[in-house]
Amino acid sequence: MTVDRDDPTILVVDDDDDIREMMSYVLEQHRLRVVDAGSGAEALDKAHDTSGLSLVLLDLRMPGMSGADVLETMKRDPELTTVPVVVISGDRDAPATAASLGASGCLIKPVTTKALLREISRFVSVPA
Amino acid sequence: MAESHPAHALPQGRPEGNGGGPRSRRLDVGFDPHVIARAGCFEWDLARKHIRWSDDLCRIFGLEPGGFGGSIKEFLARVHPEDLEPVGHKLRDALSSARGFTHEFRIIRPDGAVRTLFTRADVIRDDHHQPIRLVGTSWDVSDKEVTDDTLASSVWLLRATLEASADGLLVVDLTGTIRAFNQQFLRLWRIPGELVERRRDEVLLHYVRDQLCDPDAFLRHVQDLYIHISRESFDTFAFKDGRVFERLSRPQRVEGQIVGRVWSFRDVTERERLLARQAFLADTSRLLASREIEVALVAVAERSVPLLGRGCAVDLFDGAEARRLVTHLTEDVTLEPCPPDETWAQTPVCYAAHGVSHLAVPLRARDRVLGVITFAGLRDRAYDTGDVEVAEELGRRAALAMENARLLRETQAALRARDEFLSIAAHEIRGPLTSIQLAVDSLHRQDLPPARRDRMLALVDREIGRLARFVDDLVELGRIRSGLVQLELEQVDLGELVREIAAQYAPELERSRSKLEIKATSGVTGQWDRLRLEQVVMNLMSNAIKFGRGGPITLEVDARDDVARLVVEDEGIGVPLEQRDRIFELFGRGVSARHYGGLGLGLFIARTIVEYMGGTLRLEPGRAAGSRFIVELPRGGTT
Repeated sequence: MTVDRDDPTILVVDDDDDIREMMSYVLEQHRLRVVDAGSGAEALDKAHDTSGLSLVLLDLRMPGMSGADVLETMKRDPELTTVPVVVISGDRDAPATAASLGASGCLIKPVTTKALLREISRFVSVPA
Repeated sequence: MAESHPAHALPQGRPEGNGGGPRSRRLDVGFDPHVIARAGCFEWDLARKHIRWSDDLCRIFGLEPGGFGGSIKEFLARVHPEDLEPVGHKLRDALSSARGFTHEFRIIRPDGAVRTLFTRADVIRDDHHQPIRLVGTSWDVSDKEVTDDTLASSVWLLRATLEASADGLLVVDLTGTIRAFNQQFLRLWRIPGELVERRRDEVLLHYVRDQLCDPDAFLRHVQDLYIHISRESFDTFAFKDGRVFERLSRPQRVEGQIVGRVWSFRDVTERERLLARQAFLADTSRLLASREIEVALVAVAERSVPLLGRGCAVDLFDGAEARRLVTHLTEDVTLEPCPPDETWAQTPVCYAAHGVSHLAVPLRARDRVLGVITFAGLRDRAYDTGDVEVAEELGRRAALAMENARLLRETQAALRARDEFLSIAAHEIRGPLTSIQLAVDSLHRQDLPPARRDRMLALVDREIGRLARFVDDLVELGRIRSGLVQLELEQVDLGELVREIAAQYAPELERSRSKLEIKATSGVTGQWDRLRLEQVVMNLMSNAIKFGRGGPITLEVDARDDVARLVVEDEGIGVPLEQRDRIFELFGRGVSARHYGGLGLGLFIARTIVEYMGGTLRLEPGRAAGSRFIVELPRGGTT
């Protein structure tokens, strides 16, 4: 599957390598450009470095800088504040946390491919 | 006829012979010392020329009741011859002038005894102002000397009664002259005897004013009562030395006329102190009901001054450490910190320091001393049993409140831990499920390249392993908590076991970029529960990878005598000193759950299993910044 430089770019942030791998794979299968980060600090670096960043899929519970910390930092950063963030978390109370932090959406793990694509399509056009 | 002279009215309709008792002596003649002498009445009907005597008068004349014939002649015959003429003169004068008289004269009884009578008579006139009757009373005053003695005795009795009163009594007339007082009055007010001999109230007021907390209010009140002479009042006032008096003031009336004021003073210091103590304990109970126990203790310390001293301090004990929570002082007194030692085993302690008496009570709950409340120096007196009792009760209540607050904190913490547990448990399960779900979604696709398919199946396999280990941990936790751990001992080679586990962790190690070094002496065997030992090694490996920050991890296996030793060391984030015991507790995590997944079960389970097998699991700082976990196991299995 080829991915063009002009395709929408999604940043996948999760400390769980398997989840990161699977999400990236699924998105790339739908012609979405994906960059990933295994920690909060890496996520912020990559968010700045990625041109045309359309969406961030963010896990909340991560070592070091947590997903909440990343979201707060993004919201204060003029360059990143407008980038939509969808929180993907295993915590039951994640939707409330996500809303309070200014996230644009929230998915509760486990996530199906269908639900993931539907949520993403609210922010970027997902090629068939 | 204007016939109304009850003062001399004879008992009407009463059978004769019933007089002579106490009732007949109770004539309303106002105050007169003779009233206590025997008296009798007479009534001379001028028209009928008949005189009627009361039974008492008959007795005074030495006759049986009714024994008087009723003629003026018979009366005059009983008058002492020497007094006959003045009596006759008085009678004639009264009848001619129609005015009453008083007169003292002697009579002679039939037995010859001479008695002296004091007589008061009034003339009753008709509408034409003509005398129609002479009525009066005669007192037998022969025993006047005896009567004076009785009077003196009564005065003495009254005096003794005044002195026996616990109240201080003072009687002041309308001119401010002291008419009476008792010794208790002088004692209560600490007034020298010579001062009261000057008999002036203003002298006493001037003398006592400096003893009072609010002399101006006291004097205003006194002056107000002297102006409003009919007013009654009741109040309390305080002395600078801590005493409290109750003051009752009433006008003194004689025959309905106000002639002065009676002051009655009572020392109610003890009663007020008791009331103050009760109010204090009630207040402290209310304060201690607060959830913020330390804020409540500060408020209690403030509330206890000045009732229990000029200063109050609360020291709280935490093991061998004492922490001064609050020092509340109203004056320059010192409150030394109280160290947590055996001094506080049982009772309150009274001691002197810097010349000030101190009272210290332990805060005891469930045989534990949680701290000490110390009071310094009452202003006006030493600490007494009452103070000690109040302080002890305060100590009990405060300690109970502290204990309750601790239990509440622990309960809340347990509830939070449970919620956190459930939240993290959900996270721990949902993570692998997400990977599995996405992999399965992709595996449905027919066009998946074989290499990708294999990779996904491996991923699913790995995630199922993660879930299985997590379930194992939960099950093991359940067994440990219900005491149902059954070890299945077999011969196990620790070095081999460690190598097998390390092999299983190869993919995770690769992803974490941690390099693993195994230093295992061969032949370190023992009687152990293999599956549980695997669980221990896995938990330590998982931690080393999770918190190792990609640094090198070392596994060492060796043996000394009959003890096998496993060391798992990383160069990761390490564990701060203050967290080292906590990480082995159930749900005891060294790091925030917000950042790191995991339930805080691993080390608790690992240590419990190791201890079941008779060994120990401890943590030392690693050679680099990380952690060094050391398992020591007796090779014979359980002890």
